[in-house]
Amino acid sequence: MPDLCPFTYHAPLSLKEALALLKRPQSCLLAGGTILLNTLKKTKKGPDDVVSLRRIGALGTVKETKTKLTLGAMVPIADLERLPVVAETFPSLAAACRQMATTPLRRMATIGGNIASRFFWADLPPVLMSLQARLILETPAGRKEMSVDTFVSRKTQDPFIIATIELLKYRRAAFYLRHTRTMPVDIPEMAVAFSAEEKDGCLTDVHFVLSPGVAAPMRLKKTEKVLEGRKPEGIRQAQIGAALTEDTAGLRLDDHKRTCLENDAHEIIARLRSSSAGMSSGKAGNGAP
Amino acid sequence: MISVTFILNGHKTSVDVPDHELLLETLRERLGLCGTKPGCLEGECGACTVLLDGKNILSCLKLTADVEGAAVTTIEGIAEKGTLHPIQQSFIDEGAVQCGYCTPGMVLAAKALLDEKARPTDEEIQRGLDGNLCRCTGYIKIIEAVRAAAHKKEP
Amino acid sequence: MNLENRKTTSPVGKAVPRIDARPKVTGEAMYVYDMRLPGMLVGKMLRSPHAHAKIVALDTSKAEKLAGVKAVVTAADTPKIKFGSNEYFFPYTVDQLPLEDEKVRYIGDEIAAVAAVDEATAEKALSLIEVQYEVLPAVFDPVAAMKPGAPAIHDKMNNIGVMLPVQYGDADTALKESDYVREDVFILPSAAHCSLEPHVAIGQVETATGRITLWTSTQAPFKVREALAKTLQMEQADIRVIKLNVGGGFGGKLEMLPMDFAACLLSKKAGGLPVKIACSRQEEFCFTRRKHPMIYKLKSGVKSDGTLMAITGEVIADGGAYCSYGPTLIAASIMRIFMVYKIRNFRVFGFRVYTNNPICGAIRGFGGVQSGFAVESHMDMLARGIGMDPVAFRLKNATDPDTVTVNKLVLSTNGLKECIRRAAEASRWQEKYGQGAKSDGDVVRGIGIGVAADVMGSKMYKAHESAGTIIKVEEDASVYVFTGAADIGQGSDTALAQIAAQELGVAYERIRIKAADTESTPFDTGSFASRVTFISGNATKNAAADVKRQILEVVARELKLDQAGLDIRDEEVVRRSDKSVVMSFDKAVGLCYSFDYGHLLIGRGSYNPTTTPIDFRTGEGNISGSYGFEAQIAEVEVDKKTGRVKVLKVTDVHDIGCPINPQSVHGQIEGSILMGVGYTFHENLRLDEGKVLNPSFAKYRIPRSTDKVDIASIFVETKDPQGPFGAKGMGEASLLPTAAALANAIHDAIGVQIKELPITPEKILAALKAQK
Repeated sequence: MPDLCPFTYHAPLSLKEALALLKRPQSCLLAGGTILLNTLKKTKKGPDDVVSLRRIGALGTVKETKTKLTLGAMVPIADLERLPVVAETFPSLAAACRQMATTPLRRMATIGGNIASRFFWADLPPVLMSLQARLILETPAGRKEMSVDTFVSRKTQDPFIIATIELLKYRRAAFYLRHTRTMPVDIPEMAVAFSAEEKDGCLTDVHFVLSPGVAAPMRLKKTEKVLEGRKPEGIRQAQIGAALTEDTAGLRLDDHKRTCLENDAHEIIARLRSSSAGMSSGKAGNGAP
Repeated sequence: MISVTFILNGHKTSVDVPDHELLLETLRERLGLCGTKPGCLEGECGACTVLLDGKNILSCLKLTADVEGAAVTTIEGIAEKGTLHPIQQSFIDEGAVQCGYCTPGMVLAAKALLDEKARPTDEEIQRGLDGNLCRCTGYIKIIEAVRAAAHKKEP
Repeated sequence: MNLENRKTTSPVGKAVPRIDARPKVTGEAMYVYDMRLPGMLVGKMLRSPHAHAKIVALDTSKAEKLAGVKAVVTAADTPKIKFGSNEYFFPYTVDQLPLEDEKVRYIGDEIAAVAAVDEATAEKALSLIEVQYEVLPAVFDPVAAMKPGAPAIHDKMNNIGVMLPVQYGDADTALKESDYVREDVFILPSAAHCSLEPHVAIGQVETATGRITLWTSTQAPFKVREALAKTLQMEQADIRVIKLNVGGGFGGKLEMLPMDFAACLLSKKAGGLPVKIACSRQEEFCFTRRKHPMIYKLKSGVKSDGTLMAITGEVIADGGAYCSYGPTLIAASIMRIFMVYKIRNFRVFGFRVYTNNPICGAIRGFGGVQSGFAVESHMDMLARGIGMDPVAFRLKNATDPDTVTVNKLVLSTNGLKECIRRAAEASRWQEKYGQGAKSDGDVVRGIGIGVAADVMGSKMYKAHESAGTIIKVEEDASVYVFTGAADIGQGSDTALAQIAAQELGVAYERIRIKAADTESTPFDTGSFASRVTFISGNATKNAAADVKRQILEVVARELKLDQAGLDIRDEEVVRRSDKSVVMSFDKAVGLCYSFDYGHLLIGRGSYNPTTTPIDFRTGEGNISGSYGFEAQIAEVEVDKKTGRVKVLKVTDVHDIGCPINPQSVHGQIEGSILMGVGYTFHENLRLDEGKVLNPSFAKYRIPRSTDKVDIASIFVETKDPQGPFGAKGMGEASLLPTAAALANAIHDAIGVQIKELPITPEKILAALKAQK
């Protein structure tokens, strides 16, 4: 069996210790290992220091209050999926977890790892953006808080560790629709994460996030504007179509992706129409179980 | 080099390994447990499946250093003193074993599933095994074997 | 022998547990990669990075000097003898050197090998081998490769490895007399075997004698021995090839590969230290074997009453850089149709073309998956052209039992028509066919049929196709069966144990199998062409009959009975007339070994199927002792908005003579069908400029447990007169009609016939759009 490139392994007990190790120039973090170890297998010269987060207990905790859910960054995706609060209050997040990869990979992969990967195809960033999630980062300069939106659009130079992810418990209609080229188990080539509140039958605070696969996830502002304040029954597909085209103009999506995106918008409206406010569950957008 | 102590198949085990060594390699090369198989070495086929604290994971994507203090179970560890685990027996009885290369991984994935949920639906069984590729059986008899084992465990 | 409570007598026809299942579920079953030998070295192959190039200079001196390197070999260390897998019938297709000397012809072509103390050193050694290449223009498309002026890959005109004209009757006249003629082109992509266990070999030379032992993951140890003997210029007797447990083969492990050769040669050069060479998954995808992509053109005619008048066409197969099994494969691909349909006017030309792509070889179905898709889709289109139900069309033209086809295949037992009828009945064809057109929803259902037939062995590789079995019954009445047959997971060890037990009259649990070791087991050509149950099964039956005769001879002599009136059944010697017990099997064996007799019980048997010589100028001749048949009906649900297809159910009705182990046969069928579903919708080994683009399970998708399909697997038992206990074989046939059955079902649902695999949502949406 081929060896991995050699490195020194560290398993610090605290975030402070971990951050100190990250100051070393050729160092990196090890969360679940599903991304890092595969990457290292293809590299001749890797990091000098690998800093495992597994012993930092605080990163594995889940805290729930009446209004807020706080997830430790090292919580595995499989565990996230199974949290009752996620199934009840954040069904689109549950849907994203359920559709990702395979069972053993979900057991190993972590929320923090998925976000920190900055991979365009990562499932959690768009969903978390649609749910207005906030990240708590630990840096040498102290604690920093930012929205997931800010995190995905900005690359930080300084070392950081995602410590927790915070979600406010709104009653929202939320969906996650995911597209793959061949099979559901593939990494998605495109995904749509949607959420909105409903007040008096009208959509408010609409978040329509597109993960286009070719760029970081982004909110489709014009599409959101078309939907904002409207009743689902009154929304015309043509209006959305035009807004989607405008929003995605710079992305150069191929015809297939364009069709999928339009179908997704259609699907979302259909679900909004058929379900009562806040009680929808996120289901797969591509016919997968 | 790093000294790693963990529980392997119920016994406290210590090994000295290079920091970058993968659990799959340690199990096979150092500890002589060859039931865990290399199939793709990139986490896609599941042939290298072991249980880590009871959950099925891929030993080709796990550093040995990272299992310090944890409980690792390989296929060699689930029979009890010569008596096969009900899942193992079920695989034999239902004809779920053809070439056998995916079998250790499948059995462990099934065990992780049944330990978590005693009576899964067929769909849940399929999902629980979705990380384990099989090219021989078409999965039908494997799913039947897991279903039969679930019914056996609960009287 | 004490069997405690487990005694399954008369095991043929019963779903006894696999004889090797227990060590496989405990993880103890040994595969070649698990083997450890003292001093074992890690071997690696040096492969060409160019698709087509001359080797101008090769310098291994730096690699040889690297600390930890024990041997480096190149063509200079070899007798430079070519090998090929179709030597018997197509001697001019022997075209590959184990280590190339003058030229490399595909990305991955092997030119050298190293053996070192560990993987990192071996890898470093490879990088120190200096090769000077003169890159040559390359050609990757078979049509372009056949054009004048294309780069010459071998010394073959127009890069045609083999051209097979298959002609019978008068196709042109028959087409003119047809009421409906149509022409279609079908495109079949390449695919990979994806056995869970990659290729691996360990070679060891005993320096005192020069004798070689090779442990290799193989389906055909005797074939590997033959090729090694040829290329190393050694006696076969000095080469021992051993098969351990094999993690799947599917045709990809049917021949000697350069790594087998190199492992032996490196060991020799390293003073006899064993050398292990293993493929990574990526190497498995890129550098072993793959499926022949084909362009299948068919132009056929039918009468309005459904009679198939003529089939004409052309098949162009991209064969990659060397011939491998290509020539016999292209023949099999084209000529399978004669087992299935009564056709007397036929003209199809097959071209197996060299390209600078990785080598194409045998893969489950042996060309029949490609021809199955083309022919069975085409048949449906012909049926529709005359307004005939596809099931009725198949019944109209299907072959009958006890017939000789136009190319002189002798079909004895033939349950094809019954398979078709039963499949239609079980799937409720009449209710469902044609409903798709009436539906106006977005999600529509459809049903489609495909039929196929398969050989039970093939006399295309040697003058004989014998298998042999030796059985020894020891003093404690334990029974050892020595067979050359290679169990690669299909269950041949189990089936042979069942056959031996049945014939000998003892319990299945009594049998021990020792298989596939060229030194200690009799000859067997290997696991391919679904031959093992039929051929090796008969050899085993004959060996068991022989040893039974020996036992009964002693018993008869002792008790002064008529030997012909005795039999062994259910572990007892009995009188045939009234089934009364004479003595137990244990006692009878004990008697043989007693003072008065001292008779060591060794039975032997062999079997060579009754066939006729094949004339490869005309393609006439009966290649197999028997043929298996099936009908497969697929039901799908198509979403017209997304183009996604859900496979609802596949009904497979199979004439397999009589199942030795029904559970095993169903298992093979289920596995085959899902492999067919994978090839229909997802599997596509993509190449660009000779490089495999998707050499990983992440990018080459094979079905997972979540893709499992509902399968109703039904047997039609025709009790073949030649087969052991009436059995035929079953290894690959269920894969053959699947793609067409699915494509035909999709047409039934939405009115579009997809003629290019894989069937993707994009193709369906594009076809629906074009339809409007």
